[in-house]
Amino acid sequence: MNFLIPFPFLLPLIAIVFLAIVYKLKSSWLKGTATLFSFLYVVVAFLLAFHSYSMGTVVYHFADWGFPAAISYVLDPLSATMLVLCALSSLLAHCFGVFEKRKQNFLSHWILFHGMHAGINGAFLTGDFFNLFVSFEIFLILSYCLVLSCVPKFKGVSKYIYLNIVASAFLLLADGLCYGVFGTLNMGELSSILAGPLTDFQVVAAKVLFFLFLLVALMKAGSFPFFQWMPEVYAVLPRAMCAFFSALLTKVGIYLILRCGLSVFPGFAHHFFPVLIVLGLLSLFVGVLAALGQKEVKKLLAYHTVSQIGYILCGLGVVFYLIPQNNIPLLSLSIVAVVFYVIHHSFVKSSLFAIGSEIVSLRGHAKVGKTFGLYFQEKSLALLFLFSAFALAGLPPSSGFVAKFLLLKSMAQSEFYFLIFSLIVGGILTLASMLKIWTYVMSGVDEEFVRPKDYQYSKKSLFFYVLVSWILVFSLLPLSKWGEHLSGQLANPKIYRSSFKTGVTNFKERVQEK
Amino acid sequence: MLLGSIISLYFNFSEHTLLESSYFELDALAQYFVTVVMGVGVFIAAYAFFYMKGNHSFVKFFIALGFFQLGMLGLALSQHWLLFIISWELTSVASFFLISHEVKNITSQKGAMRTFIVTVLGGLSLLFLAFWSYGQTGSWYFNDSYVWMKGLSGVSSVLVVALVFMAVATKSAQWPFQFWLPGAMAAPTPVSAYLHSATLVKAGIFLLLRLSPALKEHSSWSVFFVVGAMSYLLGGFWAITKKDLKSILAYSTIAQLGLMVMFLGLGTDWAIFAVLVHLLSHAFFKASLFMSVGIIDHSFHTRNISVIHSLFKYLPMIVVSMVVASLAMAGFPGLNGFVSKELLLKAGVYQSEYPITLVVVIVILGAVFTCAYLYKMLLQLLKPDLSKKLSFHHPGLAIGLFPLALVVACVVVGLFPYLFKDLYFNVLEMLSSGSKQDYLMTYLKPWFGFDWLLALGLSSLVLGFFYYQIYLKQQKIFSKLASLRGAYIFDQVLEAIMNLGSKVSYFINDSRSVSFWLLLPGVFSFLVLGNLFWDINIFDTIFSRFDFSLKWSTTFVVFCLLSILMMFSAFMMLFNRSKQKWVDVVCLGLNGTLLIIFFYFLGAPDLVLTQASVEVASLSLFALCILLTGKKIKLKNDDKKSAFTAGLRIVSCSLMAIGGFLLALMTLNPHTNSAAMMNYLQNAYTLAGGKNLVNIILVDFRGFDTLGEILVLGATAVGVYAFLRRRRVFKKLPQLGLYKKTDSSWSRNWFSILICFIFVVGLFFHFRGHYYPGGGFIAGLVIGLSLVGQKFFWPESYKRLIFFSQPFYLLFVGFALALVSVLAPVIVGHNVFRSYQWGFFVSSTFFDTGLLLLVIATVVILIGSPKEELPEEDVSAI
Amino acid sequence: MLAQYSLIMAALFAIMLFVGFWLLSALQLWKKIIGVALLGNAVNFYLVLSGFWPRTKSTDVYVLVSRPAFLSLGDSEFFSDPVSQALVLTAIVIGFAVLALLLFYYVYQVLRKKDQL
Repeated sequence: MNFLIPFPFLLPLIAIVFLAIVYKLKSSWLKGTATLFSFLYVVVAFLLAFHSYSMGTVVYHFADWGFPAAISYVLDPLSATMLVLCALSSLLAHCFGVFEKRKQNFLSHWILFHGMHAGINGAFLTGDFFNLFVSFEIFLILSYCLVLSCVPKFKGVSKYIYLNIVASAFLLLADGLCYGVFGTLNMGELSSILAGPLTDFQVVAAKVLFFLFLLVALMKAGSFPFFQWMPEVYAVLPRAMCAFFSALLTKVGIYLILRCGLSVFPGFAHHFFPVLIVLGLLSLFVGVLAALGQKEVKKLLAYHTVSQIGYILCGLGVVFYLIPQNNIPLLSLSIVAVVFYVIHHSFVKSSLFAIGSEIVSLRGHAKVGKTFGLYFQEKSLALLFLFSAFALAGLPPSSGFVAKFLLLKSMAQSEFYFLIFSLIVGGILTLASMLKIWTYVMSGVDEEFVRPKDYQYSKKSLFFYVLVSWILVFSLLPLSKWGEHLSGQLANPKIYRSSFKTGVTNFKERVQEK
Repeated sequence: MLLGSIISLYFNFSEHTLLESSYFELDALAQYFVTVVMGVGVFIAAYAFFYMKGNHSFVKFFIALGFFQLGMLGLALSQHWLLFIISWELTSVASFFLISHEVKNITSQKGAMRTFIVTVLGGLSLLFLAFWSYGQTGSWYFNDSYVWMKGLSGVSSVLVVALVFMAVATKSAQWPFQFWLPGAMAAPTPVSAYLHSATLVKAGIFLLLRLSPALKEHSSWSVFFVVGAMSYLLGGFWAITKKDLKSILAYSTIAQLGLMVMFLGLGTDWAIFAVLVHLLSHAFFKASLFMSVGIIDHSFHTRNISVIHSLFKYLPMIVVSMVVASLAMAGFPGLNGFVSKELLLKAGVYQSEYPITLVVVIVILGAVFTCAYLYKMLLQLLKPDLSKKLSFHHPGLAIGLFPLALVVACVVVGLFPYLFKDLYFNVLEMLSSGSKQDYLMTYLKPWFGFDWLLALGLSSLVLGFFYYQIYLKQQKIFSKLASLRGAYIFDQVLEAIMNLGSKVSYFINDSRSVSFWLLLPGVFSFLVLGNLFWDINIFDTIFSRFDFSLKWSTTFVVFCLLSILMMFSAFMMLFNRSKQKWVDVVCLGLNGTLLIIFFYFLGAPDLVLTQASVEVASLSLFALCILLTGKKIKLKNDDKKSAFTAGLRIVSCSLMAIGGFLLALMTLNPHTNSAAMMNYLQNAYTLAGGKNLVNIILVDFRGFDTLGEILVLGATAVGVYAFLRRRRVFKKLPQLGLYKKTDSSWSRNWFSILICFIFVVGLFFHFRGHYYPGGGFIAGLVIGLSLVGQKFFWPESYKRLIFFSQPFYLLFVGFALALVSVLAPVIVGHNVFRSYQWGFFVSSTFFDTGLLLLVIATVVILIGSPKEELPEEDVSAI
Repeated sequence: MLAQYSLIMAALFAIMLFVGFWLLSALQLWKKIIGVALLGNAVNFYLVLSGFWPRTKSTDVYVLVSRPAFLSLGDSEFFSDPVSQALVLTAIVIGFAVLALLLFYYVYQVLRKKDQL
């Protein structure tokens, strides 16, 4: 099963070639082929997840080179989780119809989309910092192309592009620093070096390095000072692409923070937990306040994402605080809380965005105060929205409640009462904004509305979106086992380091052959 | 629904503990509360069946009602904080759905929203309390919590009581959170009758009952006395000014709940006993009143008492129920309200915390208010005045039975109050500290004898009438005083928060602040790092690794010259105030060229070649861009730069520069201990078959990064092309009259030789890559540029290069080739991307060739796109 | 480590960063693109710096493998780490791709008569 590890990256590349061939043969089969491949990604992701469940952390060295020389892919429960998340989101987006009908026969769109997929998967799996940069670039540049060619209006896209260019520059700087000071780009090797004795200079350099990676991750995740691109990009993206983007774009940053803090730089994590907590609280409040003042549904949801990222950042701050304290059960709890929240948010937010996009296609715009009576026009849409909104706000018995509860529990046990208070206040405000949408968009009657004639929205796919998020609640038993496994692997960085040395490679035979 | 209620009732009256799981326990208090909830619930369910017949979403209503009952049961039975809170929130959610049942009506939606937010607020303060308790005791069960709560002191005790107060006040509509209850009257009447008189609002009282043994010793518990008294009096005061029947009843509920909260604030056994009795009685007569009002609403389609008159003529049965229920509320002897009122007065007398006079005066005053508004209500309804036209439709006799039944129950309980003795006894046993239960039970009798308390109680009936007369004369003053409404304040607060929100988002999205936000990373990094390294002497750490002697040599002189030129080019770009674009491009070119020379100096020949080719490519792109878009930058009028923005820019950029300086110094580090490097060196010739380490790293050791890179290149080419085609840029491009200048055959020959030469040079670079500086990228760029040159200057000949002039085929073939060379080893069982050596030939050449083709294709697509000739039908395809 | 070279190169990098970010925060799209290009150059320079050290006896062992025959107009006084070079190569090419994208976006915007982004 080890041979499958590079395939989350390679499979989309194969898909691209196949898509080009299919395009030449019969272009109407494009969407079908793409969906088929998307289904394959899900299969591969689940297989890898099972593999990780039985084997723990597995490292795969590329091109059959030895430990520090080769680029490595690391399959551990966290990356497996993110892979599954990505694959499922992609499949849902495909079913929902990623591109509008008349754009589905365009080869370039599918190439860009699947290429993005490869980049995201690569970012989740990689064990090498420069490979991280390349994966990020793949994912980013292809997303620029995609956004530029799919978006009807360009208004806010430039912020997204510039901020990410700056972020990429910083990532390159970090890579240079890493190689310059420590002589390696490999995450496992860096982790081992940092665990050993260090000179003063190396300590300073390590802190700066960690900070740079955190900065890049925060810019990607859309936390407080760097989130202006989010509302504008999400507001103009069409339908399922919006859902897909919202599910994954920010999670890459969160993954990077987790990976750096837990596996690579565990000794330095406690220096940075105040930063994370402060930024988390700021994102939380600024995001939700801005959301309350919005007049357009999709922008409202985008600002919500900012505040939810704030929640996750607070959770991450708690994780970082707990790392040096050697309290393994509590650390495991907080890790699981963050990861579960990430999963929950991914699905729920993407379903909300899907619904928001549907409202836009139905009414032509989604402005609060000008759209009324959605409840009567599309009852199922309104109800789906309500369920998703409740899940987001954390009302029982949705997955949101479980996620929030886990987060709050980990905070309670580490005695961060102020955080608990802020999160609860944030929750109330979130609820208020959701209700604002309900009251002003869904209810009431709009006399002048005429439904467009050729409009049908895919109820089933939308239903699945919401269903998935609610299913999370009912699958708590297997998820908790998975959570134990995940936190067991992550809480102990030694596992991470040692698995690099015992990675999958044929290097020794190669040397012996000569 | 009915079945559910009946089954629950059955369980309630049996003696068994219901569920073995320790989350739930049917203890005495739970039994009591479940009796209330289910007892009234049966009647309400049946009533609702008749009332909602013919309503749309009939099913949805009952589903929500079912969930509500589930929540109430969970609330009553739960011994576990979390389950309690979940049930609490479930009731809020269900009540949201029930109130907002009439979806078309915006007012009801707003009311539902308001209710929901306020009650969820209470639930969340409970959540905070639960987490706090969990953090301190490590357990979620009430029993452990009680122990902790009893032991609190000082600020924590006040805080805990404050949290409980939030929960109780929001749920039971006490001051200052009472404003949601009148708004919730927009709900259908069965909802009002059930939720807002009998059950939901009683949940707060229930919580108080649960927590009173643990918390009543604390001094801050008296807040409940104060708030309860206020609500009692204010509610009564406001009720009389209302004209809507349901509003009157809403404020009356607020008042009665205030009474109960006030007495629970006393905390004595007498008080608890009195409240228990009163709660049950209130549930009965209030529900009955609401039901009657509902029938009136249903029949007349209005609830305005200034319009509805001579009710007896229309609905005699309803009138009977209403009168008896009102008498019960007013405390007329023989009815259950009388018993509970007497008990309350006695509880007020037999306590020592507050002056007895005060308590009695408050109770009587409130009773006066109660009687007053009841008089008003009844007199208005019964007034024989047929002048106003009313649309009446008879609701049928069946529905009128329910209020009547409840009223009969009131009479029965009033005459035989010891029917519920067991319930009260068990609860008191559970909650009280002493053993007065038997003594208290003796007071469950219909008549207490003629004492001054009876006199007081009856006097309130009379005084109420007088008060009503006063009101009739001073209506204006009364309505002015009553116009301060909490709901208004709440809406204003919400409005204010939303305005704040829009200001925040406006600030964020101000287009002029885009540039400002870009510089944030610098400021941010500086703040954080400065904080982190406050106590370390950075300069020592970084600078001490350097050897500060100065050695002059020719290299150094040349180096300095180069650096000065480089700085010059950068500053030229900075200070270029002219709007000419080519100045910028020239400076950029100078910068790039100097970089090439720097690379040479630093001993990186591959980089020299690559940077040179990329520099040519990007400069030609820039040149094309200028040709296509004009030589000058156009400025808009609102290009104002404020001093603040300029200052911010300077500060942020200098911070970045300083940071960059330090970063660069940190990274200049001799690392002779790079294990990866040793590995590469050992294996480069033996296993990878080459001597040019850079190229081997690119194509073999770290070839995976290169794979990603070509993906980026190829996909960008596709993306850019698609973007240009989709946006129909090609059609708008001005014609580039470049090739006209090379029309003569002499220049054409010269040109073709040049291009062939470049082509060959490119191939040369490609094949020598493994041993000498060169490789796929450089070759691809060079060849690609030559092809582009041909495309621009010699298009007819270009078309003859069939394969090379179809860049997309090249692209995909190259990519496929690279992929095949990557994936082939998997078939054999080796890791992906492995290279093999057969004598002199290395398999990574396949990858390199794929790379070459792809880069050629990319360059041709990207730089050659302005020359793209398209067929007429433009929109389809790629 | 020779400070003279290091300080100068670090100062160069700092200046390029300054100008690059300054241009990136300008209001016109054209200036921003120039800024991006300059930033790209700066970062590539930085990456080469990370693999830089003056040639000494101990580095000569590396020299055997990567010394170029072509282009060696006299031996260079410095040595550059091949890994850094590979990183720079990748970064240069990716930077080129981004630049191409941005330039075409600019062309599109100008042709739509909007030159202010």
